[in-house]
Amino acid sequence: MKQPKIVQKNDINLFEALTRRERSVQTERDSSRMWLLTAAALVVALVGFKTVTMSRQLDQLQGDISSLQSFTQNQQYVQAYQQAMLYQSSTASLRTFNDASKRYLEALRQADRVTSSRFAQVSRELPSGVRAERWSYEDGVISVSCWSTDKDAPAKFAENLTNTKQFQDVGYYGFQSRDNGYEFTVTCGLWNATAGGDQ
Amino acid sequence: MDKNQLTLGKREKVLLGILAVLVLFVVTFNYLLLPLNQKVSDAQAQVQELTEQKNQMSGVITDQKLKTDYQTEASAAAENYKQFYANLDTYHIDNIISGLMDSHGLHVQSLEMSKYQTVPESYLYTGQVDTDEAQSASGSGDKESLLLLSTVDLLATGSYENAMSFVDALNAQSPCLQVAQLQVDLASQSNGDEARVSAVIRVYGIADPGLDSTV
Repeated sequence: MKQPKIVQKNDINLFEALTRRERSVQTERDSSRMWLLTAAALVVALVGFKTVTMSRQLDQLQGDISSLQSFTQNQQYVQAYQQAMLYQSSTASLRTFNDASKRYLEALRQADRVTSSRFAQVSRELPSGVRAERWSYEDGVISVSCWSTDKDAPAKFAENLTNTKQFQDVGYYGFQSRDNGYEFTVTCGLWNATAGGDQ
Repeated sequence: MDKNQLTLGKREKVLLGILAVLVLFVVTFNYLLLPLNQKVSDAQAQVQELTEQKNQMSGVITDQKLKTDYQTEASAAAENYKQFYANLDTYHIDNIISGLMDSHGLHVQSLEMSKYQTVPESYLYTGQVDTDEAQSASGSGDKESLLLLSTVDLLATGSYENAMSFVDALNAQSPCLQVAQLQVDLASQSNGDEARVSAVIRVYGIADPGLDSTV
């Protein structure tokens, strides 16, 4: 059965101005709500986007960390690394040792040493009639204590030694009488003891 | 109750909405984004640190030169160590010094040696040790000396010629043996006795290089 068509009857709006004003206010309210909702949605979207991005980045980084840790904490690699580091530190300390020992040996080889020939240089200059009683050496100086019946012999001996120009300095400080003769000591500096040592 | 006092005006509602959005932003920023950002920064720092560690480990592990360098230095150190009288004991010194004296006609009456002491390197050039250098040499200073020194006091009988040949033989034996003092007293020879020979010998050593058998 066909229903009868309802005829819409337009009401007469007696307060048209007032109605228009209410519609305007309603439109403005909707507009403000829309802006606020849009801003809120944007904030949520931005935060959500940023959160997702950073979470992915964090996941990626944690994956990298796991991968790197699997290398750095691998017992085989750790042992090989420790062994290599031991080689490195031992090599450095051995190098220091070798450098020092080479320096010491070079200094010892270059050092001045007393030899029989230095004693012989002194002995050759003994004037006749002079008897050497005691030879000694210390701190780069050869000392010879002598006895002679000739009181001019000590000065002669010192002069002979000086004339050889083989010694850093020659020391003679006089004589004294003993057993019908004279005893005296002459010293010969072989080198500058403070610079070259007595070695 | 007045109805106008309970309802919010349009402006208040808009301001409240803006405030709510701001609060939402601040809260999410503070409690979500900042901690997350901190975690990311920490993770980045850890990755950087681990990467450097890995690169360092890889570089060291694959560097075969380290082992060959060590072996070269170790063999040089063993060779250098041998040249010094490192293992100082009565038996060793007796073999070297009194053996030399005997072989050159000197009859050893007494032999007395001091323990090794660390001396500064400058001792080789000056023959003297000052207090500061001694402290430095013993390890309290920046540069620790490896040089060791012992002295041996000898008393023997023989002739002047025996003493001279002993001096030359000692010099030829090793650069680490030095005559510090020598005295040949010939006065007793007038009675038909042998000359009295006394000497102080310096024996140089070097500290153990610490060759590690486990390396």
